[in-house]
Amino acid sequence: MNMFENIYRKFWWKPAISAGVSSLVEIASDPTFTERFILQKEALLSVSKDTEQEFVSFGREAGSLYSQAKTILSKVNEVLEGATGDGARQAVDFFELLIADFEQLIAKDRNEVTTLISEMTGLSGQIETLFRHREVIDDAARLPLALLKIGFRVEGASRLQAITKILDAVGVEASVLGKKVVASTNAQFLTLETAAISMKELILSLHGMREEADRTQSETTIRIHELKRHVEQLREVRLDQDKVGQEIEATGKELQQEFNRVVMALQYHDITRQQLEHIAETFESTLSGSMPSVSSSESAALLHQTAKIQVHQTQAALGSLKMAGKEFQQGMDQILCRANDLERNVMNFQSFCRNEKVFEALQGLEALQSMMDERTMMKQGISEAACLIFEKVTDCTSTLNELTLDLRILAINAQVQAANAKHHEVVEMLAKEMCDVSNAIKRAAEALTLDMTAIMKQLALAARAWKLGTKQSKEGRIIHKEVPHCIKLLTEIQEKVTIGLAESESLQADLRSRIVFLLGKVNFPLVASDRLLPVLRFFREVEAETQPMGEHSEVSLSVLASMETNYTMASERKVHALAVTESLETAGLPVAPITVNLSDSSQSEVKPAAPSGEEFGDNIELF
Amino acid sequence: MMNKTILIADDSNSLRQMVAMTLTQAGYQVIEAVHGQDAVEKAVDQTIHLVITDLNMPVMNGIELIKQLRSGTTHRFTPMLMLTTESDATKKQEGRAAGATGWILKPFNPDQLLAVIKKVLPA
Repeated sequence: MNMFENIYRKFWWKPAISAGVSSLVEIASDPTFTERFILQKEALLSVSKDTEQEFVSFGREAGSLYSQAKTILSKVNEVLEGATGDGARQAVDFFELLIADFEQLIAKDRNEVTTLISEMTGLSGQIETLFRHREVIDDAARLPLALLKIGFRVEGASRLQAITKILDAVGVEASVLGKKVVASTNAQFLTLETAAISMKELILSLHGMREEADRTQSETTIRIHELKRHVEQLREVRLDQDKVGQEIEATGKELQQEFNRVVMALQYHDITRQQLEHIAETFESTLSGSMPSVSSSESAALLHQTAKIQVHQTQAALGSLKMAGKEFQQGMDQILCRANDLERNVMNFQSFCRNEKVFEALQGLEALQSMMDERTMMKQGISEAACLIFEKVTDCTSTLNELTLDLRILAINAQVQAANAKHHEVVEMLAKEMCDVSNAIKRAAEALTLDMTAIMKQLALAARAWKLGTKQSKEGRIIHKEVPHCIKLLTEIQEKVTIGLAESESLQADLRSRIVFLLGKVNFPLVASDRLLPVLRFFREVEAETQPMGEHSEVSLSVLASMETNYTMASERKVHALAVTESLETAGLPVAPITVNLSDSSQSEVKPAAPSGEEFGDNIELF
Repeated sequence: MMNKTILIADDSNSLRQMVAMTLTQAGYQVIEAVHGQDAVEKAVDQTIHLVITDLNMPVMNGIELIKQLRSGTTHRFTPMLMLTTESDATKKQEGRAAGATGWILKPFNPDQLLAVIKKVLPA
């Protein structure tokens, strides 16, 4: 011992050597070294088991948290598929809060990792110190050899050599452990950085999803308004169609009635023409039989008188015919004008239906449907992208779990190796560091658990909000589903309108052709006037030839009687025509039948039609 | 009502056209004849469901036309209407004796004419 003391005194200025020598002296002089080493080893194993359990617990908690997070995000993803309405807006707001929480959590994790890295750096520093100690110990190990050479006790030298070997192994293991810890910590930090980047991407994607949801909601609202506007336009089109249809029907009925009246008026023309022809034939036959005997003065006077009367009557008839022709022409012009108005209305309605509202509504609805489909596709794309991001986060989580496991194994390994080194100070230091790290991770896990619990509660609230949003957007989706039906309805209406317009055009063309045909008949009074002109000229010649007049003859009397008969018939027809004219004027028809004034008996009474007990009127009789 | 053929006999072109127009519009097929003889010739090789004839016509008047058609077997039961301005009872009696189904005085109302045709035509 004196020799040790001498050596100690000789090298006291080397503190490390003096510490190592004092430690060696203490170990060498302590008979309970083995027992204490065993106790330290058991304590280290206990600490190692606790640390292992804590690491396992931390890993389970972290796995559970990430599993819960994945489940929550999956639910959110499901809800996002129908994201419209106020509920969607609330959920998106909540999502924003969730993202902020995630960001805080990541920042917190980053701080903890930074702390861990600094701790590990400190550990590395200590390991470096240990390395330096190892050099000292090497020197110390070489010391016993020198001591052996100078007669140091073999027993003490061998124990010192064994301690040196153990310390050497501890140094090597500690070096390897420190390098592994630093490497794994760096890898964990990189993984966490990757996870942070993924979370940032997720946050950006969620922001994009929120904006997309907002845009989809606003566009859906706009489209719903447009759809309502189109439905209103459709109603207006229907109302206009009904209105125009009623107008066309009413106009068609009016035209049919006017057509019937024109037919009746033309019949009066025809009847009058026939009557005039009968008069002309009668005169012709009468004059052809009486002309040869017109030699006496009385016959000549009679013929002159007759011719004079006939000239007067024919002139009157001529004037009446011309006037009737003009009136008839005016009436037909009015009918034609009304037909043109109707045709113009039909054209306007056609343009209105084809070019404006129906087509606009159809195009709007089709555009709406295509945009809705496009939005649905975009939402599906967003959901798929979110799924990819969640998968990435899951991968990061599993990587973190693996790293945690590696760290735990490394810690255990370090503790075991340190325990084997039988150097309680180093072991205690390593165990303490590992315990501190484990505790820090445990605290972080607990904080994470609390945060995730809060997030779970908020997510539950968000789920309710999503439900509300889905319910509110249901109306929009129902209307969206109704869009194809509306398009089909509009198409059917358009086809019906097209068919109706074609039929209306056909009807108009038919009516127009008939009106044109009737207009051709308007010339009849003028034709009749032309036919009366030779008669007039004939009677004027007779009037001129038979002057001066003589006494009446039997022939003249028969001619006169025949004329009177014809005048009477014509007067009756005139009375009938006047009655019809009056009824037509009362009905507002601008068409007047011919008012042929063949005699001066214009004061003839208009006999009202006798009430008929027949089914079809008094002018029809079925045998 | 559709595919029924009606023969119109009248020497007045305009009245013939007016009747034809009324009947065509109602969906009937119309055959026109300018007088009684023309109507007889056209009724020989045609299926006629109804005859509407004027009374006074050249060549052959309406009563003669009805007598001719009734004398054969083809149109023994075909309804025949007189459409004339003649309202004399004697003439009406002649028409009835000849086999006329009804007597319509000119001017006729198109709706009334169609109602009468609908009634006398076999379903």
